[in-house]
Amino acid sequence: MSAALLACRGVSHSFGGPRVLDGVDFDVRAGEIHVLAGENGAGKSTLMRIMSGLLVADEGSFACRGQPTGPAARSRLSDEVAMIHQELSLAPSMSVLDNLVLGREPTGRFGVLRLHAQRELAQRALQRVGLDVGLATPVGRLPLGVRQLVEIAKALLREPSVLIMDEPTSALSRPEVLRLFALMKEIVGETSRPTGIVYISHRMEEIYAVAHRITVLRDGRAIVTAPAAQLPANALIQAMVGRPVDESSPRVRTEKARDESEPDALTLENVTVEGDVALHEISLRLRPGTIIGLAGLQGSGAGTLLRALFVRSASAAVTGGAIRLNGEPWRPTTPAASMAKGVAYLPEDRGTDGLCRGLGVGENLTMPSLERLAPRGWLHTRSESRLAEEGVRRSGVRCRGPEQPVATLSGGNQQKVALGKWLLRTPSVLLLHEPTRGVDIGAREEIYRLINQATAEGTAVLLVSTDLNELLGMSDRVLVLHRGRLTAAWDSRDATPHGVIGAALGEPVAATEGAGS
Amino acid sequence: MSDGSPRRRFGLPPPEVLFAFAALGLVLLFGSLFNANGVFFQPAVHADALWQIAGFGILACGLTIVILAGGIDLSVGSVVALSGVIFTIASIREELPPVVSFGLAIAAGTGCGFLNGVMVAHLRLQPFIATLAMMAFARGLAKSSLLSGGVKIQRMPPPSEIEILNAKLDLAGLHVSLGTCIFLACFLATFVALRHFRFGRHVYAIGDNAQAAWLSGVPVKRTVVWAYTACGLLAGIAGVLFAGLERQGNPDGGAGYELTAIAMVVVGGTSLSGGRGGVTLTLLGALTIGYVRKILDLNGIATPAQHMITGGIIVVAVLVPKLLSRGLLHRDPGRP
Repeated sequence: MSAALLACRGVSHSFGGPRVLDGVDFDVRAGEIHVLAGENGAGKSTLMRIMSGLLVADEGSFACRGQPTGPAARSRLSDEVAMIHQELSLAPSMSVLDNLVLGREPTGRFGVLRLHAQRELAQRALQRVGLDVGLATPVGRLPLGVRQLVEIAKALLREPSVLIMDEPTSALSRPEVLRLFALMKEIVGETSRPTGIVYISHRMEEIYAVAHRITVLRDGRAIVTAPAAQLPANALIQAMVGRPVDESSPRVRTEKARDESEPDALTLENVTVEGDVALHEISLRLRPGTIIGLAGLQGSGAGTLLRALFVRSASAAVTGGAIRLNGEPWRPTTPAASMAKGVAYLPEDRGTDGLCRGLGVGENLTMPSLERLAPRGWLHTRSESRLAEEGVRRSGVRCRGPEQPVATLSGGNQQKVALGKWLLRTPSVLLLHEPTRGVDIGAREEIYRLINQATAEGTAVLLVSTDLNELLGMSDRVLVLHRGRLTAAWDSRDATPHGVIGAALGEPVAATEGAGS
Repeated sequence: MSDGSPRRRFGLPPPEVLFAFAALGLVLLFGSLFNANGVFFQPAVHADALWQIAGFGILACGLTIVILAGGIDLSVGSVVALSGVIFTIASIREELPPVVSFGLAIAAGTGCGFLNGVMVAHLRLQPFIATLAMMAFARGLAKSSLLSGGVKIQRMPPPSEIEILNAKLDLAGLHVSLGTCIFLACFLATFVALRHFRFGRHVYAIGDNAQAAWLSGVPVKRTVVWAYTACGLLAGIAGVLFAGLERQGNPDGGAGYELTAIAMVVVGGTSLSGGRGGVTLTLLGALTIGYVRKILDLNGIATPAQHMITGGIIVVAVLVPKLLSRGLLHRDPGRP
């Protein structure tokens, strides 16, 4: 193959904390589709942002078509590299034409738009991706698959030598995906303009459908780069998982035998969910005092399922199937109604969903319990501060007092507040979404302690985490979601990281004893 | 992260309150320096100043609730005119019993506030737009032939319920008008609602992060409706007070009052983005702005100049605490 269009050597970066990228070498050649694989948080997005000039790396050297460029040469990189983002970057109320030429409008004197030239430019771009839509159509009215193609046409208009595609298929239907793949092969096949594509995907079948070469990132390091033919699925998964699983499981099971006649804390039967990700035929049984871990990569729907079990909204809503909560039929509606039934939900993003960060630690801790503290509206200050202090003590929040604003706490302590406010209610079902994201090791162990303590008191936990160690270590049972369906289930003793990642990537699982539990 | 704060340990109030007190203190110091040949030291002047602040102060209390919940209410000035007109029509033209006149006026304000709340919470209109619409509507209603027909409603001598508002109560030698006492009662009620009721906590939570509050079980819509309704109720009361102070119902009155009231909230230190501040701050802010006007009045400064000076004071009052507390204290919301 020809020389690299873009070569990165020794790229390192940290966002003020531990290194997200650590001496990564990566190159893209003309005419190739180079797949970048890795678990969530492996550093893929950071590398892509550096390559496309959105971010300046701490260290590293770059060369575009053999010419060395410094790490700070953002403008050179952004000229050569075009990125198609996961979340589309089109303006929905603007027309296809305006979107295509946005930022590169051909203009005459005094910045007057040259409308004719614009149309010509846009037409040519659409032809290149084989798209036939009216230029005046607002982008928001187009189906997602078409929007994706408009996005690609927009990127191609800039004639980049490297095109980065970050999970472009997550919202596409099967025929749309095939069309996209054909287009990708066409783009790299054009000899008049040498182009290479970097492709990021969490789906095994897609990886092998398009890849010429594969690079695996893990914990900020490039583990392996090899032609696709020399890296079988098995080896790919091994490279992604890599580290031996921590043998000392953080889970503490209570030996106390629970009453078998007690109803399940939560049962799902053939539940359908609509929203950001559609889920089908989800069935599971969650016993009191146990933890079920839900594994799944981006787009699997694990997070959507969790949210749909707490609240009905446009982004996540249970639309079919039967749910039983402590033996009684139940459909989630509003947070307040779910809470009244003993359900608690720790959202993935504590900043936007989990905490009122301008308010004090105590106010956040007692917020879900205000109904109980003030049944007739009158807030008994003394019993509130007693509850707040109990919350601080039980959750081990390190703060100078309940009145300290949450925003001034460290990430780990903020997370303890976000979790601790629910534990004060002793919920019967606790839905945890990434309970230790962005949390240091010490706080992580304390959060595990809190979860263990809750299960000892009979709380049942549904845990969604992309951290495999956490998922395997904390769960009593592990289920895997792939594209909105449960594809595998293990008792956590029998689950291996290799098997879980494989199932999450969509590999057929050999020894599945039926999803469900 | 800062360690144990000595401020808390020694029981000092949070910095926002200190700043608000400092601002008021400075203004009063100015008053005693430029005392218009000792007039400033006469108790009657202060009783007068408070009576002039009262109506605006009540509006500011209501606005504090709405602003803490992350909203804004531009309609309070028009609501003042509407409730003042209704109050005077009932008492002067129709000669209804005082209780009925008061009740009708306050009910009108409450209704406007309730509609504001429904528009914001249920129709999901932006607070600025919803209350802008109410501002136009209430003004029109006050001036319509249904009510005033565009003319001032007055009678010489005024009916007793208007004189009662101006009546001076002898409180330990200080002659305070009944209107001032109503202002203080409104302040206390707002304080208690925000501090000692679940409602108040919900207001702060919604202003800080409505999404997180909702996911914690806070009834966001209901609380928002209540917040605007309370603001309308207080604007209705303020309308009655202004009618008492001016001894007439003026359909063109109250114009721009919402801006004065917002200025009082902001000068006190409550954040316009919601969730931070409190009604104690607003009380101090109201006194600061009110006294600035009074002192300028006593010194014979003309109204246009007064407005310009007030504008400058708003900028300084917001900027100085920000600069002084940058990095060190700016994250402390303070809950006076």
